[in-house]
Amino acid sequence: MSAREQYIEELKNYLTPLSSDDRQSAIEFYDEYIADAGFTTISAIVDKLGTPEQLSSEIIAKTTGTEPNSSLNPDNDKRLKKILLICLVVVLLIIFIPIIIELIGLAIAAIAATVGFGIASFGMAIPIFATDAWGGIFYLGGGIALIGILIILIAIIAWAAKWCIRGCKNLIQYLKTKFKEVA
Amino acid sequence: MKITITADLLDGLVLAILERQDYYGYALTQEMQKAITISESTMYPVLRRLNQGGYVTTYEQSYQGRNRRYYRITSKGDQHLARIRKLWNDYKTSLDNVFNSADKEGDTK
Repeated sequence: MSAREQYIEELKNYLTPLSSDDRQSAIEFYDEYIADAGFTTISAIVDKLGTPEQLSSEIIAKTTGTEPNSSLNPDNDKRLKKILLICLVVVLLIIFIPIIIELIGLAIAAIAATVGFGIASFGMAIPIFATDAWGGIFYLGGGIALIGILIILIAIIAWAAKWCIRGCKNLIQYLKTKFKEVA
Repeated sequence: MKITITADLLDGLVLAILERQDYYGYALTQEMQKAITISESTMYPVLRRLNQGGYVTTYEQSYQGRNRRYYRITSKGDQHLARIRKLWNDYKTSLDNVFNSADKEGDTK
């Protein structure tokens, strides 16, 4: 199905509130329009005409209403959406930036604690070895265990960071498409 | 800030363009957009209204294997256009008088 056929099919669905005569002539008009304009992709059509949903609601309003506003309504609609979108972004930032800072802090603290305990353990081991072999071995073991914990910790943090970054990328993509709609 | 254009003026503009020559939908929209900012969803309802009022008539012409619908002004449309031209001139004059009378220099255009 070409982009034009796709768009017109969708437009047909949204125009059902009109009488079948009105719907037929509206469809013919825009089918011809798209062909004459030479649009080849859906995004080119949407750029000029709006989405089938938007175009259809404007056609219906102007077909059944009395005074058509030539310039006011589409812009107002878009402006409102733009404002809502900006509010959404601000709210998301307010919520997520502190959380992210917390998480980073937590990660640093966990690593620091582990490293600290590890160093402490190794540090204890060395002097004690001289007098108490088993004691020294105990603290050595502890230090090695803490190295193990550190490795696991780093793996967990790396996985969590990857997951967060992917989530952020998806969110940004979604916001980008929403912005394109109202731009 | 935009000034809203009334249905009558839209009708008049379309009729005036068709007075010069017949146009098909897309070309007619292009001509309109040379003069004013209108959304693509405006043209169809205007043409439908003019057609129903008998001010324009349509005919098809084959183009690259498909049909193109052309719009042509009728004599009833000519009369309607003359009426709208008069309305517009009166309206324009009245408004100009108010806007220009505010001019302290007494400048008249």
